[in-house]
Amino acid sequence: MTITAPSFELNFDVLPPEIQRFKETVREFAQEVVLPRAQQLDQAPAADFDWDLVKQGHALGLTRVAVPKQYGGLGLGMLGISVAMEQVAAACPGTALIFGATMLGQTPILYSGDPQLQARYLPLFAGDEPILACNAVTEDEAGCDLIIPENARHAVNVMSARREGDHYVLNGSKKFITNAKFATFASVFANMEGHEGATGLTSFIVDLDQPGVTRGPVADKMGYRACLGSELTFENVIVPVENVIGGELNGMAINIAQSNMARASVAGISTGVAQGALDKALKWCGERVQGGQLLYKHQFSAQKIAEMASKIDASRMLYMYAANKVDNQLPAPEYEPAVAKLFADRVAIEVADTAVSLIGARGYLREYGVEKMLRDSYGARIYEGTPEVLALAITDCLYRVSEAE
Amino acid sequence: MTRTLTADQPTAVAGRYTASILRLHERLHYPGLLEAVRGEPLHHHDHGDGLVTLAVRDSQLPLRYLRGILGFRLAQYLRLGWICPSLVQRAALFHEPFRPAHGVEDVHIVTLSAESGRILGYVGLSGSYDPEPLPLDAPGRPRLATELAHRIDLLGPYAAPELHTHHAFEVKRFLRDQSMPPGALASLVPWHIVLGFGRSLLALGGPQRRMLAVGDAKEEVAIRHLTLMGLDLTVVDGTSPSLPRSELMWPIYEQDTIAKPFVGRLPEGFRADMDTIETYLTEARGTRNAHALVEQLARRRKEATQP
Repeated sequence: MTITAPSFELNFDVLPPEIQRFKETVREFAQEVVLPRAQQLDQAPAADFDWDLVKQGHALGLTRVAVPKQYGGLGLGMLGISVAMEQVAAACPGTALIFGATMLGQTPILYSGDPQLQARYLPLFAGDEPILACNAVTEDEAGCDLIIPENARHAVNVMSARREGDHYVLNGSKKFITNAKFATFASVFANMEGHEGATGLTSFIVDLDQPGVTRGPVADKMGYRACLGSELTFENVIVPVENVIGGELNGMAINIAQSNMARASVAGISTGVAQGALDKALKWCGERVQGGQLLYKHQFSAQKIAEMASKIDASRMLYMYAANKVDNQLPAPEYEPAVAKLFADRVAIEVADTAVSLIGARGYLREYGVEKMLRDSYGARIYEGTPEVLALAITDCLYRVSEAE
Repeated sequence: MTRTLTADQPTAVAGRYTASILRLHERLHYPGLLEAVRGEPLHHHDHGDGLVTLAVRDSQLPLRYLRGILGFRLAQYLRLGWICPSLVQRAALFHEPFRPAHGVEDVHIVTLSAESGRILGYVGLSGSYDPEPLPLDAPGRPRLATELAHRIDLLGPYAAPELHTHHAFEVKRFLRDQSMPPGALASLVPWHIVLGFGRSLLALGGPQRRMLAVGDAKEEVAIRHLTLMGLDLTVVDGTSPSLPRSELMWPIYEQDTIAKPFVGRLPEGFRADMDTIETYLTEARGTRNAHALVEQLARRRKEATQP
């Protein structure tokens, strides 16, 4: 008789040692360096940016977590990124997203499996000076039309690409692009001329310090103010043929694959936001006395705290499970990261809201930082897939399975 | 139309790949390299002239920095036309390949900008491949890269009971950042490298100065410098070096001036020559006189060769 051993043991109490060590290092950075600056970064003018924070994060490897070791990265995969994102986001999700968006800009290069493209771009993150990358999908008139295949033909005024000899010419603009202000390169999605809507979507790596690229003004956001979102305009920008990811017309597939890879890490950010809010609520409820006893001993408060903690634990389990799947499955799964993100994004909002409620009047004041977490909590519900887009992805998977059966 | 590609006809893609790799390495700076060195470097020179020079063994550097150094080497080889761009592109190289595991660690002598951490100069000493030391005239001794390219036995003539293959180090070509603008700082880089190189040879040779520095170089350039710095140099004439077109570095032997193989030994007064160079580098900018230094070293060479 043959006994087949399970292929791997799922034990999230024990992270792989390298990831565990990295998590502790990042936690220390988040709590001791990021957290004390979070309030100031939030209240500064929209275009203010803390390069020193980026520099310190880069020194720890936060810009190269998923970059393979052979290119000077940490090689910790999506699980490593997601765990790190939770830690930084617990202090400041805007700061986490600076690194998260950089990873998102790297993802198509990693996904391409093209050694020449990887050799040209990934070692950039291995120097001592930080560089950032970004992912440019959203446009003025096209959001989920660029990520839902059924929507593609309805997309209008999509950024265009046409081939001329050994290069492409890109024209159009992208909106709300995190890191666009400073990124060295972007992964950019453009529609090949002659194809309806976004049916000819193609993915490119574009150097942003070249003629024809204009970085627009910074958007004044409600939350995530530590990272800057701005417009990118491309006017007859030349991109060599080697910078196409996965061949012409495969942009939609690349975009979906990229989202599937990245959503676990965004779920990590949302989990961090919730954890940060819970930490503040725990502190308050453990110190504040009303009716002769500490707040957490009141049943109504206790129930709120317990539910917050339960939701966060569930959220963490989901994102770790999804990230682990992304690291061990090709192509990256669609279902688990979407479920993790849908759940974690909602938990972040609910937990931050409950934290504001528990802390009362002080929770409404800027100086306590909880209202910031509530504002921040709404961010992840928009980027890398709204609940509506995630719901379509999830139900699509569910019905695909039942139809296959 | 069928187009046959050979290694000496770099394609447009190879040209763009080369340009991209050069841009990549121009962006990479390593101000943290000094702090990242494990243990004591073989040599460390930092006297406020804007340059810092280190000599370290492979194992003393985190891999990320080692890749950075090998990347600098690749970029300079590409700039100098010493390496085949098509092969570099096909192999998707962004740094010179690591050498396979070998018996003696390599030594890297690196000069950095003290301000930015940008690598400005380099020379390397490659250790022996032999897991155990072999006599220099051992039959079937694995040949050094220089010996293979020139098809000669460089070490055999130096066979002696006290010398073995772990005492032989192959000198990689001296490199300077080709994009560095000329000026006072640029002119100091070679002296920094020469000093780091010399101090490393002394450290590796120990009190008995048991070491052979083997390599090839252009007679009017590096060989002159090696002689000037005090190495006891034997240059071999009449070789016709070449590498198969499948080797990355084949173009290095297709240059107008052919490099000559050499074997260098450490003479008794070598340490004093290094002290002289170090004194020159530590002098204040206004009082530093390169001509006087060269004259002083040349005079010593002349005195040493007189009966």
